[in-house]
Amino acid sequence: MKEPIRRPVALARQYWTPVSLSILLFIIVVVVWATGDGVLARTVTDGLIRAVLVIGLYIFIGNSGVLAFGHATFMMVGAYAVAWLTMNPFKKSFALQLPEIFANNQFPMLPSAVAAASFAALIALLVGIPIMRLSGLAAAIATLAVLGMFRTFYTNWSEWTMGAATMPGIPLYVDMWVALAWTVVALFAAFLYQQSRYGLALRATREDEFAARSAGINIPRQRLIAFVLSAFFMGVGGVLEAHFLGTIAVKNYWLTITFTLLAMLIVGGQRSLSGALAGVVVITTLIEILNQLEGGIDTAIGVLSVPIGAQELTIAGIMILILVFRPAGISGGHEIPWPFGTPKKSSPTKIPVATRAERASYTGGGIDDTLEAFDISVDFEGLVAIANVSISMKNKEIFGLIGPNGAGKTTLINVLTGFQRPSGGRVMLGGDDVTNLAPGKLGRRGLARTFQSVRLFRDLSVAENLEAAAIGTGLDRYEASTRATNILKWMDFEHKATDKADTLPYGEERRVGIGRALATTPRFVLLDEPAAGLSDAECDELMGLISQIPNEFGCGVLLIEHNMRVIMGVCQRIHVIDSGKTIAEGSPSEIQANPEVIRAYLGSKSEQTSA
Amino acid sequence: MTVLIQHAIDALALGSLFALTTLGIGLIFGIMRLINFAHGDFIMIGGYALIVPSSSAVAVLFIGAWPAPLLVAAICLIIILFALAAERLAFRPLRNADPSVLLITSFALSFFLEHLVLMIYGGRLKGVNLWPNLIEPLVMWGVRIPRLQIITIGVTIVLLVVLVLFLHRTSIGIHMRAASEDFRMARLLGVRANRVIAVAFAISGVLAAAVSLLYTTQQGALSFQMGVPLVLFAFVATVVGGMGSLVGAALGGFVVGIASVFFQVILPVGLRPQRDVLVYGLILLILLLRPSGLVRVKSVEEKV
Repeated sequence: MKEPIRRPVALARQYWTPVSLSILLFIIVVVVWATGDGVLARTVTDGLIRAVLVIGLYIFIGNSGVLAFGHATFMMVGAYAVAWLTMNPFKKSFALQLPEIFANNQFPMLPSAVAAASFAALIALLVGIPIMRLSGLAAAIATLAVLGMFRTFYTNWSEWTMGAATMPGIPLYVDMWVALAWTVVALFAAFLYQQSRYGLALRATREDEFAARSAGINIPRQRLIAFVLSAFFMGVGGVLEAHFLGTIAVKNYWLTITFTLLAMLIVGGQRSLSGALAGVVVITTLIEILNQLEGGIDTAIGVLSVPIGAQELTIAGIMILILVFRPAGISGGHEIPWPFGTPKKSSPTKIPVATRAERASYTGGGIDDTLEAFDISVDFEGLVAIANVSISMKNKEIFGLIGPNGAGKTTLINVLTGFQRPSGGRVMLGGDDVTNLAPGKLGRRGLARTFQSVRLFRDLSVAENLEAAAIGTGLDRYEASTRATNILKWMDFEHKATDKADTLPYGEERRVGIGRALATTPRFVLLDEPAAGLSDAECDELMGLISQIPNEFGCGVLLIEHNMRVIMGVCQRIHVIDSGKTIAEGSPSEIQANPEVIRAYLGSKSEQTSA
Repeated sequence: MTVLIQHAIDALALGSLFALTTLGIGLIFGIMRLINFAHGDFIMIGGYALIVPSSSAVAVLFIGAWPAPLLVAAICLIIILFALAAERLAFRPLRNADPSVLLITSFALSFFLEHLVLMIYGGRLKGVNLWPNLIEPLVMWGVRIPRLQIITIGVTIVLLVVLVLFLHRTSIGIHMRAASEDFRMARLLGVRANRVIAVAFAISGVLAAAVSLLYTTQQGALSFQMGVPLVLFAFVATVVGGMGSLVGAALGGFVVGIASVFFQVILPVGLRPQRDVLVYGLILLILLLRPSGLVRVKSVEEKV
């Protein structure tokens, strides 16, 4: 982060989530340490190790919104790797046939732990490359294949793992304090990641894959980064557990631990770190109580006990109830709030407003930049959506595209932005052939768009919506935040920068959608019916904004609209299509006088609106 | 040659079991985007329904001792009841939820059912001798084939044909196909969601019952997690086949079954326990080359 170090209070406020959670955990550990209760201390240590694991799981699942069932694999990989590194060579010689470097040496604990966890991360990188290209649901299932694959492999890799047998003799050194230290590390790592440009980009993909791709965010890569980091902390958790119990066995890294960890994350709330920890506390407590009950408890009315299996049964039941009645978990996706009041509104960062020239210099397009489409045709299995449409627009031009409903306007925009493959024709951007490029590539090359259905990143703040888009084009977090602030100032929307996108009224959502498209440093921005559903007053405001875009941002605007007042008010040239074919192109006054256009709108097919 | 035929029949029989399982999962996925983890537990429950509930080590046949037609009908009925109850209690309240929420719910439900059975029947493996004469091999032209494999392949063919006829010839079947193309549109056109989904669960239950009986006969033992390996392979098979396509589901099931037998045969004896590593590895490879699976389905992909 390039931000200057500010006052300690501001710093504490910025990092309040991991700080507050660390303080809470520290208090718990100190209290338990003071009681001197050894059994309780073991339970707490166990809970803290689980916390590291659940935070590991959260880094991937919480930020990506993609489920994963294979993370126990990375625990196992970490645990076995650390056993090879840190066990006494004499003990190793009994059951394992390791290469000399492992067989004859015993490495120091901390470096070994980091090395073992890094090995888990490396495995995650290798299996993640194919899996992260899949859709979210298929990826979740594919992680099961990883779980099954490594379990089979380790069970039969006897020279290194003792096969299905339990491997004893791992040095014991993990106590409450070690576990606490690693939990704090995991908390800060998860928080820093989440706030970084990578974390923000990934959270954007969680909210809307199409909009994220169109902003240039590479979804597989962002998911992979989180997957690898997440696997590192799963590895750490596995290492800690091995050094806490002293034994490891392949059978323990299977569905029960997968289920328990997922239950903790879901019950606590998968969208916040506080939730992840809350889940660990609740489920660990529950498991302890049920463990006692399964063993039988003496009460006034005799020995009370529950049968084996009641533990999982209860947790599964609670998990289903949470999923049905409170899908965001106990935390509801919230973190622990800052308790010392809000400082002056403008606190976050003081960024000088860019001048008009600076804003325009953000763009990649030169004066002669062009966006052209030649002879574009699209047919959906025989149904011709557009036929031989050609358009050509220049830098800083506002170009209107109109036509009755179903004329093929959105299909054309989808072709231009890579969401739809044309069955014929070429798209040229600045003279380069960009036909059939993926939306993300086009986004990075300077084609931005809005969507008819807006598609904001609903769970992110207004500013983060813009920042995520800016990050997609390669800016770092600080530059992205500067750019977002500038655009919000220009749109006179700064006061809502920290509001969550899904709390905005409809008209404002549309405005943020335009801001988000502009945040990608576009050469051309394609606005898909920005005035739909807006009131007359809002339309006036919108027209003001759109007509400023070319000079403020140095880019061209392709405007699709039904609202004739908006189109005629801001466009320099207008292209009219009907039933997939071009029927006219010209200045607003020419179009208004064109008989073909009048026929298309008012003639025999006249139910269409013209407003 | 005879060895080859034997292997081919092994592969087809195992593929058939996987295909029946993937179809049970794929049918429901197509309509409501639920990947049902608990499907394996329906299979498991069918097995346990054969014996008298008790936690003792020796299993006493209960429904398992009934005459075959009655037995099959009873097991189908029991699994259908469980499937419908699961739909009503766990999945219906979540019908508009994200597919990942449905997936995780079914994972929790799976654990719930497994541990329910664990509580009642105990965790020990229970030997069950269902239809022992089916295990005996049939000798034809020098090839020794267990009757069970022939029956498995036969049952699968019959069920596939019946399913196809059902989906194409009956009005409820056509409604189901419409619903899996576009659920919301189908509802607007008057397809009754609750009925279509209930029927899908019932059919899925019948498919689970078939797998349950065939698998229990083959294994000769019950365990509360016996459905897990089946469902794991079936899941990845669904992804390999192409999510949302019934043809893909069946195809994926056969691919996984045939790959298992193939690796079993070609691997040296010492490496055979590692067979599943290769099967899973192959699956990841296929997904690397074809991320949407073997049969790509348009309706699963969202539109802009």
